[in-house]
Amino acid sequence: MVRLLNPLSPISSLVFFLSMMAYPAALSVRNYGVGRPDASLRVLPNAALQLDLTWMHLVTDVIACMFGAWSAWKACSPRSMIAPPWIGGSAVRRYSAPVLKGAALCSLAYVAGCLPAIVQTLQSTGGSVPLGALLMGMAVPAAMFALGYALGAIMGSRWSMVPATLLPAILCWGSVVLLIPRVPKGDVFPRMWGSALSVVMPVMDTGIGAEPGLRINPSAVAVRWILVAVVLAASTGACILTAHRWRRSLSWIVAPLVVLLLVPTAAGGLVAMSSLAEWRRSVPFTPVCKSIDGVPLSVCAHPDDDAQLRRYMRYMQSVASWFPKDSVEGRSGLVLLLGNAFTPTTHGQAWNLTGQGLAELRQLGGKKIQVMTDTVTERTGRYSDLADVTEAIVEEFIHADCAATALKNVYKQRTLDGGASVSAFVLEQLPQRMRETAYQSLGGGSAISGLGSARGPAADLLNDATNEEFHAYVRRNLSDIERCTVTPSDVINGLGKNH
Amino acid sequence: MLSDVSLSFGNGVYGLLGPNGAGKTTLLNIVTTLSRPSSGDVKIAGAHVLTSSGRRRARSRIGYLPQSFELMDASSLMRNVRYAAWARGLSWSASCDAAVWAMEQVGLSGESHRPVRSLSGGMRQRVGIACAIVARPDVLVLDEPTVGLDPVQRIEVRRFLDAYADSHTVLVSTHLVEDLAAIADRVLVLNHGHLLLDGHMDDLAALASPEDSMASPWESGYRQLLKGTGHLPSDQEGVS
Repeated sequence: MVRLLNPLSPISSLVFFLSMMAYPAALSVRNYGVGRPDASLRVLPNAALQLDLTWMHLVTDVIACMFGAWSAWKACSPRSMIAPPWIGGSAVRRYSAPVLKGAALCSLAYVAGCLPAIVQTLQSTGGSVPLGALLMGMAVPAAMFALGYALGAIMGSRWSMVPATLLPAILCWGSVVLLIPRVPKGDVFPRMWGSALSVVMPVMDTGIGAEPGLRINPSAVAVRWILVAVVLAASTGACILTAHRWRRSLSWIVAPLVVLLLVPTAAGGLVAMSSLAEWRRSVPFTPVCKSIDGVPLSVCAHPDDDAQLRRYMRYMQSVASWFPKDSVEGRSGLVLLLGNAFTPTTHGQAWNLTGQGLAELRQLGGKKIQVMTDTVTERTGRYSDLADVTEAIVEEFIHADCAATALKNVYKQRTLDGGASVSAFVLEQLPQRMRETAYQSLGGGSAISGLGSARGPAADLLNDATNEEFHAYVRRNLSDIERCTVTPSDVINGLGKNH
Repeated sequence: MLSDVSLSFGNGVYGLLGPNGAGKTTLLNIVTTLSRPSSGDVKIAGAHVLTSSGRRRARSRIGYLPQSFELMDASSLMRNVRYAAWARGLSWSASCDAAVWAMEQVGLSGESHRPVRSLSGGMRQRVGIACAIVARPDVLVLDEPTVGLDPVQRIEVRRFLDAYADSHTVLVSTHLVEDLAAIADRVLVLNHGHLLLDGHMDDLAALASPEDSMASPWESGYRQLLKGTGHLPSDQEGVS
């Protein structure tokens, strides 16, 4: 092993390797529920994993570049006895060997750091190994090591760690800024693909959203690795030039830097000009749909999006528990379509579904809303949060026309003065309460917002009620709330017993 | 800065003396092809180093030990010397024999599997020398090679340099005049970029002052030579 690493120091390599692993591993634990008992419900869909694998290397990149600079200082600075610039022999093998080894090591560190998230997701979703995304992500630390090694060889001192920290940080920051996704116009694909430069920058376009069925374009992977090869060659060339030129001359600094920076930039520019698409979106599919017992509520997802479907079913079961069976009988109901995969690719097309998929959807009846799509289109952007979904469900299942005016004034009222104001006050916070109890069913949840402005004993009791108390109260009195017949004193009588 | 320096070297040990700022490092950098002379020419083993191809040829004939240097501390001594041989153009299989030979020359044969970080300063210095000689260079340039060595080790290194110089050129820059007295065939004294003396150690001894009875004749001669230029070596420069 030590021999394989030469001239990279085994101890430094181990320290840098572990440091490079730390960030993707920490993200795996945080975002994918690795090591938690209920991880299968927390895990993100395979599509989200694919997306994450293309950017989870941000800190790894910086450390890889520092590792390169450190290794070069130890191995090929004028102070080194191992492979200093003033020796004979083939400069190509002298510099390319450590550059290749270090690049491979950095890529491996990234893969090792991502493994928990990959294993977790594959176990929970049954999806395929996201090889394309992983290859895309692995490429960047490899290139960063090569850049760092060249910087270390050019400067020949441990001070090269400074530019080796700044350069990748600037590149990563720049690419994140460049690729901040924007909400595109219209309802069909292809949506805005970030920047044409994204295929060559450290961070790819993540504006695509976590679309199930999404695949990295194999050509983009190939192009990125060709670019890595260019960076590796340019870095090796810069090292050779540094060794070849007279030290302390202008060309000693300028020539290698020109090779190091301009060659990859020119190659990257050429690729960017080709406007290569990074992703291949889902082809029309037949969704998997599940219905909630007793409530006309269904959830449909791409077959690859099993984890998301399970998660949303848990949410919807929680939401459905707010409604007694008799209160929703005869309602046409709602069908939630999860994810970007449903977004059509041409105008006039309802959904990105096969004929059979469309027929099955039609058979379910009810209003269809597309949710969990990040910020895909103007049509679906408004259902980006579970609270938006619960609001739509409340609108669909509770028709309290008597409280319409009161709802408009719910943030203007000082006290609850009648049945309409009580109904409006309850309905205003109902979607938030539903969202919170749904999140709590999976161990999440946060503070309630969206409380009306009214104060007084009845309003305070409603505001101070726990989600469980509120849930029980609403379920008991739903039909009265719909008819605006619950008075403030009823609230005091109903909820006051608990306080 | 060096000026008006014209030197030629054959086989043997050449000692380079001079106080700090005398131009020793500049001369070594020029000889090792790291720095380009602003004027004049440098030829090493028949190769003009000012040309690109000549410099490449020259580099394959030079071995250099800088005053302070880096090694792969976590790797074994053998691994360090072997990799140095490989980097200097030997095949990986040939590098093994070369490393064994180099370590024998500096008396480290029995230590080959120890990691460098566990070595004493003197042993580390000898690893550096082993790396410098592993490709059997025609021209061996050593900057303070005996710093940190105990007396026995210094004698061993001197003995090796003496033997190596039978068929190669060895240029040694040092403050330790006594080391040179034992092995140098010729001594060069630099000060302020000028060559003050290019001769034998006896020439240096001839300059010794009878009043300077505490010092060896070479050391005394060295002092007298510098006194003439208004620069005496300081205590830190360690004339011994």
